[in-house]
Amino acid sequence: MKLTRRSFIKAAGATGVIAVGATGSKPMLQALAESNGTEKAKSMQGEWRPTVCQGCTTWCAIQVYVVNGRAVKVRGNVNSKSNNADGKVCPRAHMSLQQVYDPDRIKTPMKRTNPKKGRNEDPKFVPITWDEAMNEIADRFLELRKNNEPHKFVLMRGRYTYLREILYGAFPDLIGSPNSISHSAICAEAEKFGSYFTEHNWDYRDYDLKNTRYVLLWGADPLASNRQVPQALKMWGEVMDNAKVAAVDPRLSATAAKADDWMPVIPGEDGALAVAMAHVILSEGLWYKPFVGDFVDGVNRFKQGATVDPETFSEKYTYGIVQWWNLELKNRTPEWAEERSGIPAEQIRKVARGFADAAPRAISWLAPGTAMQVRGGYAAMASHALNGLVGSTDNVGGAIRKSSIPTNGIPDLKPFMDDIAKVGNDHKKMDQRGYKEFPAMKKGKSGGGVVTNRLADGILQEDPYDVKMAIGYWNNLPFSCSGASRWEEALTKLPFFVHITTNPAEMTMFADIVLPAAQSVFERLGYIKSKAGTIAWLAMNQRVIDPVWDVRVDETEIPYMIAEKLAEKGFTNILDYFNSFKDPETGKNPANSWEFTEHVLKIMTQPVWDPAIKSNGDQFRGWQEFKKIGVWNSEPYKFRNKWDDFGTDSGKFEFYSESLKHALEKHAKKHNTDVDDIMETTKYTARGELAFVPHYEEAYRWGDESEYPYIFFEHRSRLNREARSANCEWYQEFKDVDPGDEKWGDVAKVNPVDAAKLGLKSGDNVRLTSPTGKIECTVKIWEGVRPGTIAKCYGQGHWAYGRVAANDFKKHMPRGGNNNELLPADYERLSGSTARHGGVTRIKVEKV
Amino acid sequence: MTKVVTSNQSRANIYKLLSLCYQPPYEDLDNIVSSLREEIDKLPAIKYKIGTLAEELASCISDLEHTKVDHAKLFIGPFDLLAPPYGSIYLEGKRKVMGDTTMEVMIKYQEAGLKLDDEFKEPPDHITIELEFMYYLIFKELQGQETNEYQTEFLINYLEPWVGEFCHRIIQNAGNDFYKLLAKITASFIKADMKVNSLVC
Repeated sequence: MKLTRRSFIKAAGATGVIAVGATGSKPMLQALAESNGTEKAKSMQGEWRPTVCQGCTTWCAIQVYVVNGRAVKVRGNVNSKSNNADGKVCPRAHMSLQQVYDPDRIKTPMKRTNPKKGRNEDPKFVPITWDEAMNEIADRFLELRKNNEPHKFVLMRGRYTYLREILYGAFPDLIGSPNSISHSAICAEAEKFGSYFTEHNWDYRDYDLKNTRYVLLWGADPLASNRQVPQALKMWGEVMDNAKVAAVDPRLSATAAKADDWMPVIPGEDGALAVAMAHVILSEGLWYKPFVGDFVDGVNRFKQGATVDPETFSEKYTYGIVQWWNLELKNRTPEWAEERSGIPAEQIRKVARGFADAAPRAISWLAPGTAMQVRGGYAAMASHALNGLVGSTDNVGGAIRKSSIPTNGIPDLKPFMDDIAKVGNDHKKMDQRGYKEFPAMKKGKSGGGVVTNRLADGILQEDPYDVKMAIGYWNNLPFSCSGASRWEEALTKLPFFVHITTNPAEMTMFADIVLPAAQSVFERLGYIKSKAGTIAWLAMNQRVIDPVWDVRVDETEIPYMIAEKLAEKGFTNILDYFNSFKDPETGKNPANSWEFTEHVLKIMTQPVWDPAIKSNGDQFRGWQEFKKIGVWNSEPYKFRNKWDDFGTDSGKFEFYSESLKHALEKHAKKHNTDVDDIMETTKYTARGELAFVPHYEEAYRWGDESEYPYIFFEHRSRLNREARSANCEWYQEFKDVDPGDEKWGDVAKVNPVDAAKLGLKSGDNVRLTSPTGKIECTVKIWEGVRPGTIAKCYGQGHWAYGRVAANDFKKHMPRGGNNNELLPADYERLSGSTARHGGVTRIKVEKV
Repeated sequence: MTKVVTSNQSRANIYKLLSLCYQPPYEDLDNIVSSLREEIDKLPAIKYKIGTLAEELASCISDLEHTKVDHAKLFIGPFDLLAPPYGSIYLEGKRKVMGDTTMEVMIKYQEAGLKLDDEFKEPPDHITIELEFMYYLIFKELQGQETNEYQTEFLINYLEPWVGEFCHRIIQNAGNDFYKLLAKITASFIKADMKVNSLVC
């Protein structure tokens, strides 16, 4: 029998003693339990157990060395066949050891006892039981449904596993809310815009580094940050032996430092370089003719300033090369680009020639730096289109896609959706996607994508309606979204907010209830799909240690527990649906939240582990073997499969994007206007047919140059586990592995020329002010940024993230400043993306 | 009963009651605290040192909600756990739980025939567990098992070396007097018990 505290005190009161031994009574234990000899001292011999690192979106299959239930070491999964197969991982995976054992973690459900919300309000959290938490949450849902307003619930998703289908997918649907809002648009949707509207690929690309002869990086820093970091770390020696590398980046990044050419572009002017390189490639006859085709008579008519007759060119796998030249490229000379980009014409020419000479084994590697700008959609298209010019798309040594990964969906939920839910789901979404100024054309559909950062305004303006309840998981929007203060206001306004999280964050400060989530590497179940080096993989997050605290799996266990409570109170639909998930092996229904989680995972991954199903990769003898190995690898990528039909409107690789034209015209029609008006509304300068081709757009910046003389830009750290690692001592202690940065610090990197003008020296404290915000940090004089620009790494500036991350949590003093408090909330509107790059704002610098 | 038995009963009870005091406070806190005072009163050497503190402790439970908030800030967090209740933080000097010493403590429990209770979800070197372990060892001694050496070893190697710094952090950071007094009582009791206990050996 388990003795309660009450019975313990009673015994003490009755006998005057508690520890009576003479009567043969049992000791009264709460924290310990007698093992009756079953719990022998465990062996100190450890074992490697498979799981996944989600510190960036490479999503590496890894292994954890576990001794006596405790994680002590991490390596790449040796069963992975991608290029990180030999057990290598980047520093992020190692840092997860400090995250999981962080004493500042959320350990138990908690509730706020101070009803006032705000940065300076102490939430006064106290622990509650899971049952109390579920009870309160269920009551709120039932209240919304009773009033026929279930749509006023918002689910805010951050990072995820594919078990998101439950919490982010099925659960809001069955409650009756259309508001499953993902974080994708603060990640890199504008990048996908570039590859989608040229070759119908709404995804990140893979790169065949092994066979490449030229790597042209557009703001990408693969040795340090997203994506495919371990592959790059392992392969880069070989790449440097076999290929040339050019890095377009306003900062001397880790990769730029090792490149043959560093092109420190004026932030936001990347598009000028891309179109000038295209101009060089065409005017010098360097395009890859087996892919693009050639002039019918073999005579190159791409002469500077000359309009070309489309009839004279015979294209093969591409569409609109001549229109692109005529509409955009014919006068985009390197000299023209030099004036805008700050990069010498000769260097532009040299890189363009080198890149094209390597065709088709030449990679144009598009990354957020070039895409996530106010006018970045077309820069993304232009830089990606270079892969079309040299025929490297979908080709050996080029920019490729991923092999398919076979998975199952979840069972049909329609039979479980009642009328209240159906009506609720018909409402507009709170992020204003599809509004005239937010086309967010994921896969060509107006309003098809998310406008994450706009949700704050939706909540504040009650447009399209007011929000009464929200759940957020694996996210920290008041830190990770530009215009961060709007999020603090929006979260303050929410009447009821639940934050599900492993580590506390700024967002947690606004929660009414906080629920402890299982940590993604060590404690949860889940699965991910990813790719690198021509191999696609499916790997499982597994519970490889005994969780230290009272955690649950965010995407499955928590919705199951809410469903149980809702059923107790009379609304059984969701639990009925969840309980219909049968174990594919035994046919049994789940009896609890953990079994439910296992069933979801087994159902969705069945095509890779079931020996009866033939897959395009590893075959397993069954579930147990798959669990033990932890990763399924595809067969190597099959090149040039897309060439015959890219899936675009023309079926070809589009330099003149019929797909974009079609999408823009549909969006314009929806708002009873024309494409020119949409261009203007979305802050683009192009008019007419220019809107349908990759083209140069002048950088859009906030702030007048006379008041804000410096262009501010930010970059990523090789230690950011999605900006969640700042409370790790290793993060702070090794922060100087980011070029120019300092240990335990947050520096604004200033060129010596500017520092002299401003009278600044390294270590000075400064205030950076933009038209929309200000932060404080220290100065680092550094040659790795060009004069006129100031660079700062993203990741520091936490004010509520744990003892290590903040300078002084009690006094609300951050360690440095969060860039997102400086950056205005602006967007690449065609994709819905947050425009955090491209020097979106100017700033002034003052010594403090 | 002999004097040793009586004093061991009180020692056991004090460890157990202190252990309970570090759990989140509920309505029964009054009873726990008054029992603690009674047990302290039974040991003259201890009473001499902390009897007054124990009396004060009993008189300063006023607002349970406030005490809950204070408890959470000190021992649960989140954001900035003010007095981490985990041995390894102090013994190993890193802001990280589940250190090597945590595992050593776990092995001590296992050797004594114990495991962590499934419902008590904290690392093995949580203050509540270590105090309860001391209670258990004394309890076993009262039942006739030779655990005295175990007690001394555990105190010297695992509990006493960090309790001083832990209690210091509580005293520095507690929002009200309850946990400050509890910290003083805990630190003094363990120090005194170690002396008494080593003399017995």
